[in-house]
Amino acid sequence: MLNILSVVIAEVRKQALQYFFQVRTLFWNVILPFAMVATFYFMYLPFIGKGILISVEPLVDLPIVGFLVAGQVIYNLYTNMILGGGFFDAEREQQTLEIMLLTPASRFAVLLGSALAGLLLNVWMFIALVLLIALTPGVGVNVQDPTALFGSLFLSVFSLLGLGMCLGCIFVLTRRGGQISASIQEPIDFLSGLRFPVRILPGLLQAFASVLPLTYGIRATRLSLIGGATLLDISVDLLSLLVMGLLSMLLSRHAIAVIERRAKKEGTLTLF
Amino acid sequence: MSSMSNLGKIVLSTAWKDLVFSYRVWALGSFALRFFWPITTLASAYLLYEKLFGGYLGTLFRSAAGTSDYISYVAIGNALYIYTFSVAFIVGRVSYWDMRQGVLEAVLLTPANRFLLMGGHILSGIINATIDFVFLLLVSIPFGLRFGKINPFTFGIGFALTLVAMYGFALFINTFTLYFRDRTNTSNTIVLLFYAFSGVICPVSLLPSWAQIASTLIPLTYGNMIVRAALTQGTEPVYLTTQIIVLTILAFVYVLAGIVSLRFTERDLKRTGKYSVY
Repeated sequence: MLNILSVVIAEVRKQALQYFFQVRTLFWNVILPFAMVATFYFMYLPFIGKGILISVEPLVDLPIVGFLVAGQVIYNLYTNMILGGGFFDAEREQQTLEIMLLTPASRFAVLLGSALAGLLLNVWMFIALVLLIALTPGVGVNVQDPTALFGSLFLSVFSLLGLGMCLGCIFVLTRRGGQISASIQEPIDFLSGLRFPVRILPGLLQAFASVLPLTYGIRATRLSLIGGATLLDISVDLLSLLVMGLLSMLLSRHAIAVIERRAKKEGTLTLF
Repeated sequence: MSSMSNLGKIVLSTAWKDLVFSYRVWALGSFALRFFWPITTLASAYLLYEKLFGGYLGTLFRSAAGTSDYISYVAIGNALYIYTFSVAFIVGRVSYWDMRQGVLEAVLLTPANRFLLMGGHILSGIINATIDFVFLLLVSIPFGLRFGKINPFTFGIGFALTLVAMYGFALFINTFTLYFRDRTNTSNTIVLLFYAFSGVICPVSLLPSWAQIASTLIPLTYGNMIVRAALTQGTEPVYLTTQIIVLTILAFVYVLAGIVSLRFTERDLKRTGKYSVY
């Protein structure tokens, strides 16, 4: 157990040293969220004029600015998880993947470490975005049940960590990490309810949205952070996040085994 | 005469190489990068308009945009935006990719004129962007894009000036990207900021004042105004004089900045010889 923890910490430290002080991090964690919130907010202006306090949901008070910023908190976590998946792929590009697989370190711990590093990159952005909500006149944080907020964040992180780990495996196995991450980013942001409530999507697209952990994470965080929701109000979202997190963790364990088998049997994993 | 034909060959061969490079393999990732953002934004605009707000537009929009056709407003802005993408993502990084392929110094050692080489990249960029422009307009039709009275002359002026300004900008980004060995961050940032602040999805006069200030420096802001007026209201150029003059000035400034920065890059390369070093 101690060994696994050491591997996780070492991987987080390595990734943080490699990526934390890069322009890339600045882009993904400052410029991208700022530009996305600005774009989506501007998209509402033709309809609402200056009425930023109009709620996007009929039954809950979710002012547009808070709605978008709170969604961005979780979406940013998701983009960092995609980058986390890319970290693992980077081992292949650096020709160190096979060496890493030769070490006795737990593969699951390595992958968990790289996904946690993605989470670490997101922490300060999360704090900044929550402060932004708190300081926006007329919006403000409305937490009625702190356990609901904690549960939303914890389970969002858990399910997105699992997703990040799965993506890490898929990126390595397919050798198409960049292509896949570029291709899924926009459709997932569109379907997840980041820009508007999922209820206005056509039925088929709502079905797609319902299998994305991001959808539940964004809704639960919004409701508990600015909508004053209790644990009971968002219990379905939290349960969905828990189930998806567990499934993706199990899936990633299986995928790691496939990676290792392929590395041993075919020796082609590091080929481009 | 033969030197003129050589100049033409440089432009055409560079453009041809780029086009072969672009289309030899269909890559989902590059298709997604080009189209998913504008298409999902158009779909979002449609859903907001039709489903969330039930076809209701704020009163300010009509007076600010000069039309109550929101979907056409977004669709045309989106289609023109593709030029920004082409500039920032493709032309703005050509030298960087030459560096990655290890051919940058070899290219710069050839006796070919650098501006003609860039001209070739720009030509292929125009061809690609025009294909994308038409494709995005076609995609927008099912969402409700409607053309009004079209003024081809105004459209041509707006389109050409936007193009010149954006490619001046591309020359500058190209140098910046190469000098700082930046792969995508500059391009990504510019694409996003241009999209947010140039009035693609919302008339500039409805934006907050700080955003309106940012929008004045973006050629696409004026390009959007001119091209929209030409395609939806058939406006004569004389009614868009201010926008045309500002866009011409921006085009001149950006092209000048691009030329100066490209010359700087080449001089610095000769002096330091470090551009192929990562």
